[in-house]
Amino acid sequence: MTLRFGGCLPRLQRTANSQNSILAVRNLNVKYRTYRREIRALWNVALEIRPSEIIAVVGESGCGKSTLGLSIVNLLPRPPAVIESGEILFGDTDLLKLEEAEMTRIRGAIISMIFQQPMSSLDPVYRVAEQLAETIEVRERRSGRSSYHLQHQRMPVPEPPSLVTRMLGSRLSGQDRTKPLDLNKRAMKYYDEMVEALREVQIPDPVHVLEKYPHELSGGMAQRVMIAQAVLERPALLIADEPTSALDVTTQAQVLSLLRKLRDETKSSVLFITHDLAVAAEIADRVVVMYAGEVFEDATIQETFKNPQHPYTEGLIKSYPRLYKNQGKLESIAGEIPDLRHMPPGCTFSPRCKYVFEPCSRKHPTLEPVRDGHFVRCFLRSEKSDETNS
Amino acid sequence: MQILSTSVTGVIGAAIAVVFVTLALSMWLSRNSLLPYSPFAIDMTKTFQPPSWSHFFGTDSLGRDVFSRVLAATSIDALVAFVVVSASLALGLMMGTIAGYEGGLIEEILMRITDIFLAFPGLVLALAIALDLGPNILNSMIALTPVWWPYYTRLARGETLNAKSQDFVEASRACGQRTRFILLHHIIPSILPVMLVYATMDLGNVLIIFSVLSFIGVGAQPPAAEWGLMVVQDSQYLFQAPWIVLFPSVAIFAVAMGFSMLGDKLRDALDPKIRGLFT
Amino acid sequence: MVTLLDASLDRRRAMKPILEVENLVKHYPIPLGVMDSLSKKERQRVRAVDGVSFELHPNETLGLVGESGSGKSTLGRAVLMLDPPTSGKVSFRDMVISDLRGESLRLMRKEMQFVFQNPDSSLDPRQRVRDILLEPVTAFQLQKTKDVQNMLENSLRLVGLPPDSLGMLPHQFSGGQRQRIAIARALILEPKLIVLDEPTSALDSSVQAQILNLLQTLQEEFGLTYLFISHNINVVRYMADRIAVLYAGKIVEIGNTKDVLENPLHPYTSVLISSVPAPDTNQDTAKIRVEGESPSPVNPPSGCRFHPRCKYAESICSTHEPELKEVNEKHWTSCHFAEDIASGKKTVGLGK
Repeated sequence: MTLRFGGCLPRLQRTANSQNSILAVRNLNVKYRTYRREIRALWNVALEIRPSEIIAVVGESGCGKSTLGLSIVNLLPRPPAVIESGEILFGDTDLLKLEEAEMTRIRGAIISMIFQQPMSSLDPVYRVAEQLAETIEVRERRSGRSSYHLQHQRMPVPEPPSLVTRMLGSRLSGQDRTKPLDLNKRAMKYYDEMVEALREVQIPDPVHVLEKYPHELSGGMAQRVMIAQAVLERPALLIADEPTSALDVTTQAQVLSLLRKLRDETKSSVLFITHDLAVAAEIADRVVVMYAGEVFEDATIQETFKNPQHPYTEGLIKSYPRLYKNQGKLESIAGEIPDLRHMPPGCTFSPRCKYVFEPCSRKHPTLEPVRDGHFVRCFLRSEKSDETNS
Repeated sequence: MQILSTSVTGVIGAAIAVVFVTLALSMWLSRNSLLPYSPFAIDMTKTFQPPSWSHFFGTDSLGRDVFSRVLAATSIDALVAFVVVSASLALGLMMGTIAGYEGGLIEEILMRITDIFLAFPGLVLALAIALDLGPNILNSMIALTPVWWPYYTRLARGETLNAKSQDFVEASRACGQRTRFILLHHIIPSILPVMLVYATMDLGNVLIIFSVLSFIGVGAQPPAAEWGLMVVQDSQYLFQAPWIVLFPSVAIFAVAMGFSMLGDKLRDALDPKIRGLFT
Repeated sequence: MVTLLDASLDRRRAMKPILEVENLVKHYPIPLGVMDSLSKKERQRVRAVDGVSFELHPNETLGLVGESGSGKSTLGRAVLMLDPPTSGKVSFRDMVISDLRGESLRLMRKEMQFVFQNPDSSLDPRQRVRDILLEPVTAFQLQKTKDVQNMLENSLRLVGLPPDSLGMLPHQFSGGQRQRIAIARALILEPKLIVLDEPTSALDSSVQAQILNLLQTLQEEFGLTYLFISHNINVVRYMADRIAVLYAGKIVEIGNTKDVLENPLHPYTSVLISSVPAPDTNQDTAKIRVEGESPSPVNPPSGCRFHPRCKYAESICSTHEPELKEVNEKHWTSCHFAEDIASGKKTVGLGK
């Protein structure tokens, strides 16, 4: 199965690996080392992302979901982070073993990332057009040729203003004020493509948005610009770290449906990181539940919500207040998330688990399949454990 | 503590500060009796002696032991530096927090008064006041304080505005606390660390300016041992007997630098991001 | 069929309201530059809350729902006079408090308390828990007349924290525990009314349920009245007896929770409910999407503030601002076409 890329990368294979996944994380262990202590951020994390799949990584604070996202694109601050072991396989290439120069070629082109706060990801002194143009220019330089072509012919793109207009201003030259002015030369070069990109993310007035500065955009608009920037190159994988957490619920709904639409059209995969189970339910094909640095459950979305196997997943679902059901008291999970500096022995969830029994506080369970494509880390479901007691 | 101990400048700065303060206190408490020679003992037979084992820093034009004088001076300089900075800090805190918290007309009035004082070049203002009052150490302290407190007022006001926007201040108001309580128990403890860092770095500055005042002749008066005074008194002998001027100058420089380094590292210690690396 | 819940609601409603808000307005002036003020330009204001009226009955929870910019947080603060309103009247137990200032206002604080959103910033990191809890007590000089130690330990017990927490500092606790401390602080003077501004939004979901349950238990035990502000409709559904939906500084719909959520009368409410994700895989309910941007609080749209984004909008919507009308029993909304939309007679608007 071939994958579509925006640029060309000589070294990476373009065919999927034998397991039909585009990204496979294997036994990833990441620690944060400070002067006083070590915190285990990721503990033997394994997951797979298939082509055109939206996979949601769900977890609360400290579960390591952001660390996971950053590890894939090698953006972890190291120090204090230390990648102890593991592989992140993209095709046949281990991303962890790549040099920074090679990783830079992958970032943006093959794997893109968007973050929670769009305002801090956009440079406040440059206009939208200039930032998008920069992305395009980097891509051109990388691939050595222009790889853009209008894939779908839509509404005609407005003419960029003439030189006279730009120099004198529209009032003097008589041209229509609705067209943008004074964008720099580089921005004008990629004008068509930028307008097209903004239209794809459903920004209603792309021409005007191009000439705005980031602070003039609303949260939802800025996040859409980020998405536009991220998909400009048709990456194989888009990593979205809590992209809607800072948005209103109505805007969030818009952005989520936009992401789904983009996935359908571009066939990219999405790694969607969120703390909100309901958002995962809205958008994901698969759900990976994380807790205190470990993967607790990995299943399709139907399985996760209809047949949660891990007590934590079950607890999360039950403790979510619902709109349409009349509830008595809300079922809550007892206790607190463990201090990552002092992890409980055995299963990390055992102090809070209502099904806790004999082996749970002694041995540490491993991630095992319980049915096809559904993995759980819990003694209730499987006997297997990590014999090396940690 | 850890942040200080892991950085070279922090250690040096802290060391200098500790040595300085210890010397100053011991000099003051012992009334200079611990020194090898009395700082005032004039011995015309032993003038202009270069540094030797009996006189570590040599002797000056009046045969006084430079080493003893340099050490003795610590108490005067420390006194002036700490008194001026403390007074400015106290005044600045008071005015700045009230201005920042109350806002409105009170803030306007207080800050305009502050601006008036800031408008004068510091040294000139200090000179004018000192000359007017009469040149001696006490008057120097009185003269320097008006030069210094405006900066603290400004700093305190800015920090207060910051602290005021914190939820716990509003929570305190919601509990029904009076303004005075909030200022004393919430705002001031919150801004004090920043103010203290600034004050630490400032100690060196006051020291320098006071030495300058003495150098000009309106600060400490002879026969007092004070570094600035020592420099000016025998400055004409700079080339024949450089040690007389050298050691007091180095002392001023070292102490000022020391406090500056200490303050710098203290500021790092307060920065939550850097702190995070150490917890 | 009148359920038990409705009956008790009606009973409570028959009692006098504990809080009455009339036409509350809160505007923040935007400072003008010197040139602008010289040219007599009309000063612009941020119209955070632009004329809100409602009642709160004893022992009830009114949920205030809205997105960012709706004015819900500002409203919560204004009701408690933390940020006195620009105009309008607030009455607490028949006493007009919006006119009070200074000492007389301070004394009212014994009866009304506030719980903040962020437990990290609402507790002074330098204060031990004992001092945090003591603040309301010492503010009113009560430490002399009451057994203080007992009071403190009791309040901790009520929120599920051990008594030795008294000597600890906030950073030694987790987010959920800190919020419990904040709730204990709010309760210690036994107030009648508590305004909670997004009390669980900053907490992890597994802890959120614990805190919500705690709040409910406390309400039952002490007969508290809550004004519960949140952007999360699911949470408000669970906690509130009645809901008020805010948009651009005005209430667009208010009524019993069940009525508002199952039979929304205002187009915005329908959009809001439809946008809320649910942890279910039955995603067949058609999503009502809304386009456009949130209204500017400085220059809100003319007429009905929702009209630029409303699919039912007609020309009257941009010229006349609709009034809050009781369309169904105890269910109010401000929309020119509320009945027609509800009965299905109107499905789309002709535009502006």
